[in-house]
Amino acid sequence: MIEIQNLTKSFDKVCAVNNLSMAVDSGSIVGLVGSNGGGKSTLLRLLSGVFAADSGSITIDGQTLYNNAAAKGVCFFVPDFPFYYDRSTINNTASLYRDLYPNWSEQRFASLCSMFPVGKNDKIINMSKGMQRQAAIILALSTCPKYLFMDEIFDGLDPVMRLLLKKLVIEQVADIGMTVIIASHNLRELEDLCDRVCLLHNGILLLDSDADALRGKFRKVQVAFSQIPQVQNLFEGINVVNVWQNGNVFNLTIKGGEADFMPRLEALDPVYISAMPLSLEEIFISEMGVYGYDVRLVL
Amino acid sequence: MTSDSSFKANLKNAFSVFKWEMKNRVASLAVYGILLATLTAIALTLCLSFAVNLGTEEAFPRSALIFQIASSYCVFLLTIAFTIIFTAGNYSYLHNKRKVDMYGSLPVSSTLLYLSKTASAFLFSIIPALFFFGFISTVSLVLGQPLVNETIELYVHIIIGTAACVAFYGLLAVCCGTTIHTVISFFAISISYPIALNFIKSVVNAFYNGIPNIITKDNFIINALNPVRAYSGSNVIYWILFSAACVVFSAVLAKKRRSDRAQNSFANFLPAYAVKLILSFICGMGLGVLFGSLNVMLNGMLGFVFGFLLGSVTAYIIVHLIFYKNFDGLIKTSIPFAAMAAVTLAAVFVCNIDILGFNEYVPPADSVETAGIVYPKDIIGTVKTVPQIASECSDDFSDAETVKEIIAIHQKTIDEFKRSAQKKFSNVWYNLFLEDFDDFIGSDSYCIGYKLKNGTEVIRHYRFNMLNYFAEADSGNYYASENILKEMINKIVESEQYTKNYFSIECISQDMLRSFTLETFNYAGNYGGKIILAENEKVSAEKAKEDCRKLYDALKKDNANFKKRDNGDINLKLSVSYDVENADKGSGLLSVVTDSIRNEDLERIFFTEDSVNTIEVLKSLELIDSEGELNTDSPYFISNQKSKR
Repeated sequence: MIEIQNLTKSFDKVCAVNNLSMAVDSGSIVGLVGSNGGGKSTLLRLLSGVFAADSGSITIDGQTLYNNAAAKGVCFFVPDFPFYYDRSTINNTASLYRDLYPNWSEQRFASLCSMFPVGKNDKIINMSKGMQRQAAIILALSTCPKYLFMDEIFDGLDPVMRLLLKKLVIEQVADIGMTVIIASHNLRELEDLCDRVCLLHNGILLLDSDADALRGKFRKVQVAFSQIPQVQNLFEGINVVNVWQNGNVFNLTIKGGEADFMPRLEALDPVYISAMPLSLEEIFISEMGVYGYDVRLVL
Repeated sequence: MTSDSSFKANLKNAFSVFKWEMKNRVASLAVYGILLATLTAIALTLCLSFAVNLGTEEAFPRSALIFQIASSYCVFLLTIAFTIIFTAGNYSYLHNKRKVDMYGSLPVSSTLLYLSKTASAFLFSIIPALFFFGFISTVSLVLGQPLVNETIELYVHIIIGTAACVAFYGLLAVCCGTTIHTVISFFAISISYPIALNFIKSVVNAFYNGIPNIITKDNFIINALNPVRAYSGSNVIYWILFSAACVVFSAVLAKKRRSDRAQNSFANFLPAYAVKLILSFICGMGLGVLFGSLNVMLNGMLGFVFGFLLGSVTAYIIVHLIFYKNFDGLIKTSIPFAAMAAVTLAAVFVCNIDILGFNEYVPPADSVETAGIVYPKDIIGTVKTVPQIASECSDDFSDAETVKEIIAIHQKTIDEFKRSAQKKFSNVWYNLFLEDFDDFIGSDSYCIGYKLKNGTEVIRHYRFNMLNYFAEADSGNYYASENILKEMINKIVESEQYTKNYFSIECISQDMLRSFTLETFNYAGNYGGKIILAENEKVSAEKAKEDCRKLYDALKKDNANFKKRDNGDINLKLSVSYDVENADKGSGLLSVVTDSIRNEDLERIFFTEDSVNTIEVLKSLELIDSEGELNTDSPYFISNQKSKR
């Protein structure tokens, strides 16, 4: 289990992670989403022991991670731009990880190498971006970590490989109870994979919710009227997060389930009404808009 | 997991990283090895071809010597070059964000990771060199030129130099955020620190006339932060301690280092301050001393203050911009600079006004117990520092008249300096650049020493060149002044007591003796050769040594009864060859080269008709005949043709 208490990390005058507290249960997959510079990558580096916190604490299974070699042995971090030496190959890098990570599985390594179409003895530095990601995934999953931290892992992977990655991660979570934290801007992929989503903006945790519950919290509703009712506050009593009007048609983002708002909308006698859940991306845009991070404001 | 087993696991992981580093460096090591092998092969091929072409018996050992020296120095220089490359590459894991992500997340503690990186940088540099030095020694042994000790000595210099450079670079690498800052800091400190120390030394020497130079150019204080000097092989203990201290300090800092400082300015600002302060100090001193010596603002001290501030502030701002890329923090980080500037200006001011009256102090005659004056060039057979020489000479004369004469010389010297006292700043340049050159060409200087009745010792060391320089301002009495002083000194130097005290044979112990050489003065009537009292084809080493001892004892006896007089009818010239005690002969192989050029240290021995014991021994050993001429039948006699080497 990962426990984060009042974690703060600053770079000169910029506060990348600001008094963040959260807990992650073992065997869960957490998606970190947020604005650029929101603190996702910094949080992953703090979690993997690359950075030391300015204040607050991170414990993994009760142990602090920074400068703790034993605790780091059960974690693996795949950064957004992994480093490889000019002559590094998958085999050559595996020879290092084999010695360093106590859970390294030769069988898993062989099986992963057969799944991904990359040469074990090819120089990683000469591979395409997607293939370098695949190399990183092979090496990461072969260490059989209890905790896997991945930054923008879907970046550069083709749809088939993305699917394969998701399948492998889910398998490994089911098999060994691995805990995964993925930071990504690819919310579509996270939607399929994560059972929990955390939203970070300016180093602050804005939202921490179960993914299904989050999706269930918001509805995208389209309401059309033959004639707009002449009432003071048209959607009074409904938790409308966002409204966009086009003539007699209203597109609403509503917080809550159908049972909460449908009777009120139907009472307005619309000619057409439809409601459907929001995608993670739409929730992200909607939530960020509340905090002033909105494309209209940016423009 | 217990802390003990955890440490073992950690150590094992650090070793795994070390092994992996080795594997990743195979290509660079191969380039290094191939270059070394090729250079060694070229040297061997050329030397063997010369030997075969010459076809003489001596050709092979001589070629082997050349091979050994040439290839050893190729390995030496190439190792230094590769050490720089390996070390900079090795510590880049602290300076590259992507490498920080990789190494930072590995299950190895930052301290052990740092130590494994240090070990790999060190071993990368010295192991290939060890292999090639072994090869060179083996080839030389086979070819009959076994200078194994000299080769080992050179290899030890590589180990010490590499350890010092790697450790110091490692310390800077932990403190700096980028490789370029580390490299700049390494070279800036290594080069500018000795210059800064030399400026301090030169100011003290220039402002305090006659102060004996305690800090020589090889002194470890001058080179304390210049680890490249560790390759010279001097001050070995200091460099071992320096390396160990750097590694320990770096390991502690590595543990506390903020890894997010990679590709940023500094993780620890110590090198930034050091470089900024040292460079601004030397730039300030350079311009200050220049303005001071040009007497700008019509006052040397005012000129110095203006020049120092102008030079140091400019250098400080430029270095700040190089390190920080903007003016942020310039004022905030200027407190140490302001302190350095204030201390420097205050120190130079205090030196300038000579607050303790050092420059004009001459002990009153009634307070002096004994005194002495000596030309340091007269001290042979051993390497002594000027303060040692001055201190030892203070016992030489106790008679009131000579003491008065020495005091008069001292007073005359001070008067010479006083005549152009405003030129102190010009003299800094002399001390900075020309002092070593003066020593090299053997310019004259003299030491004065006093033992006072209250037990205090007063010592001074003056150079004629400095006096000449000052006297130039009053060109009217340039020569007169110098000649008067020299005459006063020579009166004592040519005295019986002085000649006796500094007689060459008194300075050389029997163990240092190599040989005596006897020649005729009058070349028109010579016999076409000379006598060298040393082992040769006809005389065994034991016999030659015994004969040398007899002559040595006789010379000492005669010196005890020495009376000053001319050579008279003696037509013989006696010289002694000896080993110099405590001499720093540089690196082993280099000393072999210089030795073969220099051959030996020869000293002429004063020899008169009063030297009865000496003449008797020369006759008893049948080195001279009854007429006092060289005995051409002596087994020690070498004809001119044979003696040509």
